[in-house]
Amino acid sequence: MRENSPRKPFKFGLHFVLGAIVVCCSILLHPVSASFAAAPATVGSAYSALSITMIVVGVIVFGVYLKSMLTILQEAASSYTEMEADSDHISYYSSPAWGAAIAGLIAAIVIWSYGISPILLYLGPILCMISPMAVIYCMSRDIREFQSTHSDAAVEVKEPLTRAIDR
Amino acid sequence: MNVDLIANPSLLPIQGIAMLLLLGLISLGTAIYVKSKLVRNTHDFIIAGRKLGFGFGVAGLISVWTWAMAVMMSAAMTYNFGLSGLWWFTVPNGLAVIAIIPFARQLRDKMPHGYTIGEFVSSRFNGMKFARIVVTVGLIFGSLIEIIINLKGTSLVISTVFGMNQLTVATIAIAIVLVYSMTGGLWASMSTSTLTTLFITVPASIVVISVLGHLGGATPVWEEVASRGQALLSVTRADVPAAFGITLALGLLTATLAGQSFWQVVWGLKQKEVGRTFLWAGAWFYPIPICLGILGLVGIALNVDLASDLGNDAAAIGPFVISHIGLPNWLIYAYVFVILSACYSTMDGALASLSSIAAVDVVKPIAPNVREQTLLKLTRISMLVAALVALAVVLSGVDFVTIVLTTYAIRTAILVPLMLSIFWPKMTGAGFVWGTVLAIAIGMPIRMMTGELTGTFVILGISTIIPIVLSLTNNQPFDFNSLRKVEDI
Repeated sequence: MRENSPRKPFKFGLHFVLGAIVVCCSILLHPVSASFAAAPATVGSAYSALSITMIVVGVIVFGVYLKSMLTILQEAASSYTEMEADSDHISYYSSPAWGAAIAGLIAAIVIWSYGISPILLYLGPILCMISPMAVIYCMSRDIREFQSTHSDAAVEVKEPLTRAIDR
Repeated sequence: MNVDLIANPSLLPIQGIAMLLLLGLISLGTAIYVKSKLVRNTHDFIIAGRKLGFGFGVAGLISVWTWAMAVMMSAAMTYNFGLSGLWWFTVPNGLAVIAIIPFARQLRDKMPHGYTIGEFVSSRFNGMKFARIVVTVGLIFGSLIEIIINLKGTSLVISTVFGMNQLTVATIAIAIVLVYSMTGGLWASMSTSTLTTLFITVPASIVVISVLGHLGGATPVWEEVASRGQALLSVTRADVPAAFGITLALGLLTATLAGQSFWQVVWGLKQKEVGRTFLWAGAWFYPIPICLGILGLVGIALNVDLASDLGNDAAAIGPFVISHIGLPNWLIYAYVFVILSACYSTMDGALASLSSIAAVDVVKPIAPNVREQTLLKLTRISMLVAALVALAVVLSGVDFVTIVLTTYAIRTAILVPLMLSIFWPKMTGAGFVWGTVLAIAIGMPIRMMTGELTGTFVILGISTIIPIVLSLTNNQPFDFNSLRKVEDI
């Protein structure tokens, strides 16, 4: 047997899941359910320039987000046995009260602004699209940390060898 | 606005089932992948090996905190009270997540190997069993309620949009969440929650922009709402805080501070990430209700009738608007996906928290030498039991909003005693137990007789005064550094 046996159920499970996802998508994207025959008359269109822009941005965010997520899972798996030393200078934000106040204030102002002008109703959806971008930034910090930890570990491994060569 | 609201005839129950399965399968695939890479023992299963990072922490918390509440109630409160409803619903919501930071920092620092709040209370009060039981029961009840509410939310949306039987939806949904939650524990929960944050935010943004575009832009919607009274576009309506604002704000605070779903993340995160993770999660949670609340304004503009269109349940305003204004089906699917993502992620977070409560606060105290494999099996069985109980409650048919407010009231009783236990060295076990028990015993009947606002303040008052009075004379202050002796299971 060439295949490592514990990986068999894992692979089978993933293949089953992928197959079932295709079935679900085909039900949802069936021609009968792809359009809406009896739409009530409205003055606008769901496909406005702004909504198409948001769809394009959304697709890009989707791709980058998933890539970052997968990278983190792979890095976490590859560093499974590494123990992180307890840091003396824990990087808690020293004054979360300030951050909390600012976050709450911005949220309050955005909701208040809805009542000022109709154009400001678009602020909410735009912020909602920025939210996963913020998560992508957080994940990029993790990835950078993983990479610096790995490079530190590589230096530690190399050092004795280098010293031996120097001698 | 002159728009005929017509139910979409092309949305069939089979599509509802496909939606339920689709998200479940994506989550299951993620859970299988995560389990194969990162879950090797009970410690990994219930606390993710304490290796959760900043990104997964923020995204996971946003998703866990985005209940059916945040998605549907933000629109419901806007529909009921205008922008004042959205303001009072949204602002305390994010602050509740951020408010946990000082407590989380204190406990993660003093008790780095902890798992649950029940375990903390037991260690804090010298192994006092009754105190641990009170907290554990509260935590189990809280987690169960999280599952029940979100299961209800799932049923409501799918049945409103696809015309399915609510009980069928609930059964399928809980089965799906149970399967992938049992696969990988907290790692799976946080990974799927990270994914669902993406599934909530991006589609929500696109759907709301498309709804506005479909109705001719933001201006006609805004002007129609303004024509029904400027109070609907004001955040200063005086009746809203008393109607639900203050009670909800206090309740939200208790949901984070006295909820194991959050504490398991506190102990599952890398120690250095605790503070900023909660801060970022609270801050970036805000856009979700702020965005989806707009559907409440659309409901007002379209003159949706609470009784005839929504069956007297304002929570259905979002799904109703989306499925009755003639949007393309893929946008309706996207909205349903938002709600399902919110519901699934909260339910899997609650199931993961129940597994850690079962392992640490139930099994370990009864059988300290239980074998690793048996412990893992028992934590999974606890998830199954919780899912069955939640399903039974939903099948029995109870009111959505009443459950939420009742849970908050009970958690309110634990709030102050818990805060005192974390920071006040003089706090005693007797103060903790009597403060909590008397607040529930006296406060709950008063709340039922006099209403939520008065009742909440009575519960808070009793649970503050009793512990302080009983603990003031304590001459043996607690040494918080002794919590470091608590070890991994």
